[in-house]
Amino acid sequence: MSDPALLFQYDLYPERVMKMGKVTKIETERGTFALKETKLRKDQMDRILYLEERFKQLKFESFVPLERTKYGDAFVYTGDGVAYLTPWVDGGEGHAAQKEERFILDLAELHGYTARDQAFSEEVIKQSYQKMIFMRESRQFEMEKYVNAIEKRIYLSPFELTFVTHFHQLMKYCDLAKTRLDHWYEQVLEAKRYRTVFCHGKCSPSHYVMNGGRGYFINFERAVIDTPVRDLAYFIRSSVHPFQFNPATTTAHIGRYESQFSLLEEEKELLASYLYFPESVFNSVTRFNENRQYWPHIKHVRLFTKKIEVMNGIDHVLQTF
Amino acid sequence: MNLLTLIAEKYGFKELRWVQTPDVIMTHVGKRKVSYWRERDLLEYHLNFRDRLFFNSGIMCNRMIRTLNQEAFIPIDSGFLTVHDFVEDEFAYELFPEMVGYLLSSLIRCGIEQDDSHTLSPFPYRETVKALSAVKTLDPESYFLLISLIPDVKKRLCYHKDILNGMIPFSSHSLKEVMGQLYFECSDEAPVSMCKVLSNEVHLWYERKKRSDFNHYFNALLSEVDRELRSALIQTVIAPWEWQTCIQSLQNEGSNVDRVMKEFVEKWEAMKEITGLVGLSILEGRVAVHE
Repeated sequence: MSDPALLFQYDLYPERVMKMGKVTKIETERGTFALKETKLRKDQMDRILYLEERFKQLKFESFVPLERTKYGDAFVYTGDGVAYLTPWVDGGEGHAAQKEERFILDLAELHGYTARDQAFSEEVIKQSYQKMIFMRESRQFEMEKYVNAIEKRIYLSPFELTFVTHFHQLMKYCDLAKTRLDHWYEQVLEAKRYRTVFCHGKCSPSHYVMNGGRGYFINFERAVIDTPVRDLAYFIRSSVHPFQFNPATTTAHIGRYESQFSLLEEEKELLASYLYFPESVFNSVTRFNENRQYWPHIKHVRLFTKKIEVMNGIDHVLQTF
Repeated sequence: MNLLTLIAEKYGFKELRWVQTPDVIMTHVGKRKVSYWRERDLLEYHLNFRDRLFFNSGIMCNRMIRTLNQEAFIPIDSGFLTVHDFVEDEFAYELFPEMVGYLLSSLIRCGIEQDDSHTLSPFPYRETVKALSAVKTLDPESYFLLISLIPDVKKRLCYHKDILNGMIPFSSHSLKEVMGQLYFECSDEAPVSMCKVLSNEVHLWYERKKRSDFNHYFNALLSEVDRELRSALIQTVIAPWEWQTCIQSLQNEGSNVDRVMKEFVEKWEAMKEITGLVGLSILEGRVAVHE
């Protein structure tokens, strides 16, 4: 369905339309709106609607509600996907650091509002544990294969040399991630408790906007019910800027989060396990091999070494955690 | 309470006035059509059908605009009231002949989904033959002609065991256009039988359109349906409806036999042409649509 026919469903007649990333900004006489065209399954749409309803009941206001069409639909089918409309919230307000501070507090508030103790099931916990071990081991195995392949060569490229140099350190972090995951597993079994929250699912600063001194979460497309650690780890990873990383900021973020919503001891172990696992460094290897962005070789090397520094910084944060 | 005040209050419309009492209003977001319903069942049928049509096929239609409280209709003294878009532009279906076939196919799929239990059944052959015996005394000449056509009638019934027997809201409708897209303006009347609609539409297409357009319609009608529905659709189109209608008409006292038979012969011949046009080989149970 073309955009004009889509906007007809909302009785909107655009005065100005601007494509901004994945969103279209639409200025009309009745206000400014954000139109997102995406692919969502029925269960994802249902979850977003359920979340909205729940947020309203809880009087949680840090989210941007979906506009309904004149026929009462929250989503409009577009042939190959769906579209939804929200009021436009200008996100340019506030310094990046201020925004992150506000973001982590709102995230803690969201988790606090929706926290729920789940009925303890040893089987479910065991499955989660085994699944995580399997996924991480597969990733580690890929990296081992890669290092074995490049070690056979006589001449290594600067990137390969850097990777080989740091490989054992990376494996050490993988072991630490495994150890902390084991701790989590043992502690959960001992405490016989497991709690969940509404997780945003893609908790990066780009999905949070500040306006009028308030912060709003946007894009709940990947929302799930899961452990709060899932969102928190995603946020910490996505808020780390490799070239300006300061471990004190990460410590402060965790402290700020815990001032609103305290993590249980076993959740702290799980968070440490997530953060120790050097997924982001492994992704640099994939990015180097694919080089879709056509970066110069040296850029890959610099990013890789910076990520190693970030891992060392996170290690420092986690030693006292 | 005054009707305009009630509508303004429930729907949040501003600057409300009648453009054409009591059917069309002007609001701050443009013209709107007002519909009145006496039977709640019929209203709910249309509400569900129109919503379903849009969700399943993406075809825009005159769905019920929701009130501020997200209600699809409001009770009034004489029944219920609903508000709809008022669309004036006619759809240029000469330019997109396949859209009508696609619309009909979408309506049929939607009708089947809404009433899954009663949509397929065999053609009433035995009942029609029984009725034919009554014609023998009324008009022997017509009777012998109709009897002699039974082998052909049987051929036209051997494609599939069932015909479509569901209902769709396809009477007094109009085809409009919104932002370059088809907008199906459904009437508020009770739904009609799919087989009547299919039989009439196919004859209309045949009478009005050139061969290529007819093939476009027919292709679009069959393109988005599964194998079972496709077979039932074809069987419904080729079933000897004109033979059945002729027998029913001849049974009515006072019917003009000459006129009835003339219409029958015309339709029967047209059907032969239609099967030829769409490359229908009834005996072999095959259908191919010529490009």
